[in-house]
Amino acid sequence: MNAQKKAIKKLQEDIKKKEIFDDKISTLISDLYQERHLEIEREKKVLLDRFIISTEGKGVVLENRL
Amino acid sequence: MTFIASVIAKKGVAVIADSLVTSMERVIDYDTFLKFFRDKAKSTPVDEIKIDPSEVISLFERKPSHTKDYEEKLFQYDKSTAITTAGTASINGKRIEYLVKEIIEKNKKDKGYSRKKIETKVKEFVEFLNKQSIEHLNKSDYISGTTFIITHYDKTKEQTTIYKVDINPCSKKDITDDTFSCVYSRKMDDYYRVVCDGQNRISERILFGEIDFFIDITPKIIEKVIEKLKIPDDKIPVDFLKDFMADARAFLPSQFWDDMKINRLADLSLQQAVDLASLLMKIEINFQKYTENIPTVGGVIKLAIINKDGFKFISGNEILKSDNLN
Repeated sequence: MNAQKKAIKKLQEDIKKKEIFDDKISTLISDLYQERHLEIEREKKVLLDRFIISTEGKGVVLENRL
Repeated sequence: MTFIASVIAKKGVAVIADSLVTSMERVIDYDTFLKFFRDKAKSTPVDEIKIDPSEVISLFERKPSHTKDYEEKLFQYDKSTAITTAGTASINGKRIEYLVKEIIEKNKKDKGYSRKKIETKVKEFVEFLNKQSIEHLNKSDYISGTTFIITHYDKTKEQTTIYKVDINPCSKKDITDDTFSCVYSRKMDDYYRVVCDGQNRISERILFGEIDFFIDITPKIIEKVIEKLKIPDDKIPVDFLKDFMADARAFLPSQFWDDMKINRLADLSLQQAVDLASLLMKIEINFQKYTENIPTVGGVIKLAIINKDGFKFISGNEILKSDNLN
């Protein structure tokens, strides 16, 4: 009985450890994803803002003068 | 670019930074430019080609143009705290070195500073940076992304705490929103035994293994699948990509986790932490020699430790006899 209790306790501890590890991995992936992709998106937004401000929202037409 | 890293040991932490500064430029390759218009012309049935401004933006590639030496990137912030920095060279007309020194001087005048917790110190640093960033945006139309790694060792608890403080790329338009903040900080989970930034792609590939590739490529594949299947935007759940990535633990094979060296890092001695920090730096610097890219990591390598005795430079902080005299 004692051995069974010990085994159950060990199993519960292992499950808990795995859950903690899973959480940490999920956080790590989210962090890295955030760092790499969302910052690139942020950078694109800044470029776009600057581009739109520089053209004062006007349409741009390519005119061939040749 | 640059390379900065903090490597946690059992009884201290090693901090490393290079000194090169790389100017980046956004460029369009002429053939890419022509291809863009060729494709547009083919897909447009009428005489007029309409271009979305975001398409123009996507044509530009960020490339290093030239490199200069020397820039300070590793600072002793207080007795047990170091700051390293990667990104822009100046904010609000001040070089990063002088910005950090400005807040260090401010802290020296604060009689209660030594009793403050590291969280409070980081909060004050973030507030200072946010103020400087807003002043910068009042004078200039944008601010580039910059990262600060704040590394603190608590000798009583024998514990290292690392924060990443990011200035996000922002435009003047962003500060019209009162709730917007350019600067964000996050405490790094104790899972991160190594925290690095800058041109750290090789180091990250070693530390994170296949996960590194998974994070890079998966969002691109998902976006392509959505585009190919013509799934309308309103059918895609909010934060779908973010949630999909966070759920990766549930569906990726176990070898992905076994391959992550960061999972395998034992409790390092301080010497091992110094060695590992130096090794990562060396890999980043030496590998550049075999590529066609402009070297963006190198120059003077500053290395410091923080342990029970406080902050101490190990190398890179003293003037040496010149090689020119040999």
